Amino acid sequence: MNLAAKLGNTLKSPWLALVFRLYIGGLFAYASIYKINFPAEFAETIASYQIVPYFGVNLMAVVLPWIELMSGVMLIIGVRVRAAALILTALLAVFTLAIAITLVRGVPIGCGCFHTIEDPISWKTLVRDLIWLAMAVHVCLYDRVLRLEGRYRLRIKGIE
Amino acid sequence: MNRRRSPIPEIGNEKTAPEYAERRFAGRDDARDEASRLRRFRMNALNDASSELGRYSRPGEIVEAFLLTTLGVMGAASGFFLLFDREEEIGEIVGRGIPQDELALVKAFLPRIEEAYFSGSPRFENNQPPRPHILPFSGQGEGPPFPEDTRLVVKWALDGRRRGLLGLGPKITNRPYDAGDGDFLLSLCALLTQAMRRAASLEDVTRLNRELMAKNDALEKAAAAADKDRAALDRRMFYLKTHNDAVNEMSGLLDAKELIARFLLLAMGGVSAGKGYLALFSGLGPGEISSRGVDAELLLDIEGGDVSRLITHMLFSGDADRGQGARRGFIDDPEVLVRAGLPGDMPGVWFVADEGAFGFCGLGDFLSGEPLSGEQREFLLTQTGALTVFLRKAKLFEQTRRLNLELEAGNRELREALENLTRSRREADGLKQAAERIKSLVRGELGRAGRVNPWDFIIILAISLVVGLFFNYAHPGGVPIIPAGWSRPPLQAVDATLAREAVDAGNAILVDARPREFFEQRRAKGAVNLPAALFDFVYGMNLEGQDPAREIIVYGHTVSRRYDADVAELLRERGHANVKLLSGGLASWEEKGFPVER
Repeated sequence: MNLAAKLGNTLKSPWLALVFRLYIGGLFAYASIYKINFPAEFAETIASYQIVPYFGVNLMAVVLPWIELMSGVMLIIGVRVRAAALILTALLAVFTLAIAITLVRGVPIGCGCFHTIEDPISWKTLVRDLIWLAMAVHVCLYDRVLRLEGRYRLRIKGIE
Repeated sequence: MNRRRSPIPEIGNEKTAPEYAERRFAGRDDARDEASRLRRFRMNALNDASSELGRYSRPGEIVEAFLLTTLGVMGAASGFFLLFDREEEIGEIVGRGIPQDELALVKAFLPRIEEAYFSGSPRFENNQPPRPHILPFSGQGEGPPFPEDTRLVVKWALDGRRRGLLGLGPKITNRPYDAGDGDFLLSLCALLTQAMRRAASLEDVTRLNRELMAKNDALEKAAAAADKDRAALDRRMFYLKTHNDAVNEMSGLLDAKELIARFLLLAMGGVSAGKGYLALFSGLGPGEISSRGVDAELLLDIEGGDVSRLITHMLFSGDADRGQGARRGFIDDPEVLVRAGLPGDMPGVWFVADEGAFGFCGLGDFLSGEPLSGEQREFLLTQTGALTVFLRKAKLFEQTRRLNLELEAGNRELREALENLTRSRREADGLKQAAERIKSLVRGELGRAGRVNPWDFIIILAISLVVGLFFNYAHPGGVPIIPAGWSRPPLQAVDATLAREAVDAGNAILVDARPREFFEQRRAKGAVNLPAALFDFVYGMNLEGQDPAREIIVYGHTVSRRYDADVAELLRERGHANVKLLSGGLASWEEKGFPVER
């Protein structure tokens, strides 16, 4: 087994996917807390991106943090992991796209990812989001250990 | 005719007796008187002889009387008569005037004489014996050894059975016998025939009588024997009936105790015994004892071991009547009984019912006061045989019942076990089915867990929507979901050119409603930044004290926010009546080429 194959195996490891899963889950759960508590500020942040139409901004500010919280918690405890990971991947993709658009537009706003008052969006922000996106995709593809649902699969294998 | 056919040769000069007499006396007138006298004499003699012979009934007596008479009337010195009886196969000889030794000699030759004279067929024509006739006889030296002085022999036959020979010696006068003598002699012989026939008839009658009497006797004896037999038969009948009744009664009983009690009663009744007991053992200890009229204390000491020894001894010593190996027998020896611990005065029957079960039935005080007869013993033995059969039957019944009960219990247990098993199996099946169902359910769930289900998204989004809206509604810092501008009256809009003119003329104030970052990035020249978030603060700083009638033109909206409308509303709330929106916003301003600051 050569080095490349070993590396490939390591990259595809479900345990690596578990690490990513917990990380992404925790990240989103954490990020959602502030947004849930300050919906008005989060609505401003959304508006500052100038992508969402004005009548959808507040609704999005109210619902989106809860989506993030639910999906993050589901990733951590390992329930419907793939669906949750897919949702988060989609969100990350949208965020990354939004950041990229904002960067291109040159609108001087903070990313609003965790707090309302942050440094303005930069290329680093985009790279960070891209890394997170990759992690989420990895979780979608390779995660299969330490799931709450998996407990029962093991039990059933024991019965059979 | 008869004469001609006679096989016997005629005598002397071949003349018959009458002819001879006729010739002898014919032509002799001088002797006529003499002859008639002689005839008279002979007639009288025949008459006398006839009555004389009529006095006797036995052939021997008749023959003897005949010989005497004949000798007398014939004037013969000696004579003899040989009487043969074919049936009795003996000859009888009667002699008179003949020396004993000669008689003895003749007697010794009797069979030969009989053979010589009577060896012909004993049957006669028409069953008539030949008439007596005189045999040609010429003295000694030939033929059978008749006595020496024999001058005349007459052959006589009564029938096929009794024949005889009459021999006469010389006359006393020593004159030879003439024809008249011969005739006379034959007449006498005819008398003998009659007498003998009568005697024979008499003898027949006597014999018949005797036989009749003998038969009578036999008949009486037979009747007596028949009576005896009938009595024995009645007795036998009685025993058989008793036995039959006993069998009938015992056949209904299936309990050994009842069986021996009933048997004892029946046995006592059958042999008319006043008391009795029956001990039944199934081992060496004390057994089951049933008694009638016996002192109970006498029976207390009876033990199975003693009786067993007795019976074993009897089994192997054998019974005189039944031989070794019989399963029951009779004991009446008091010594033997006492040795086995049984009452000595009560003889009885021992029996072996089956392996391990045996007993003894003793009886006493018989009504007859005599020991039991053979028939009674036989009866008891037969009865005991039936008892052993029924005891075996009782035992078998008991065993069968026990087996049946065990079988029933076993069946019940089996049935219960089967029911339990069935129930358990049904439960197990149910559990198995449930497990299968749960397993398939969980497996299905897991299968779904591995896949991405559209419902996952729908549920997550729906929950988030509901929870978010609810939380926002309850949250003090909640935001309005429906944009506020939709419920406000529309504001007047002013064209960028007109706005520029008004602003340049100093008639209007141009307000940039956007957040500060946007304002600092690019703004219309002369615009005042008044973001809604900092409205109160900025208004107080820049617009406080302005004439409420002065025209205020607000611009700044993006796709996501109506900043201008919001701020215009706030200004109207402050009392500014002439608030207008810049039509087309900053973009329209720039398009017109109006100055923009950076």
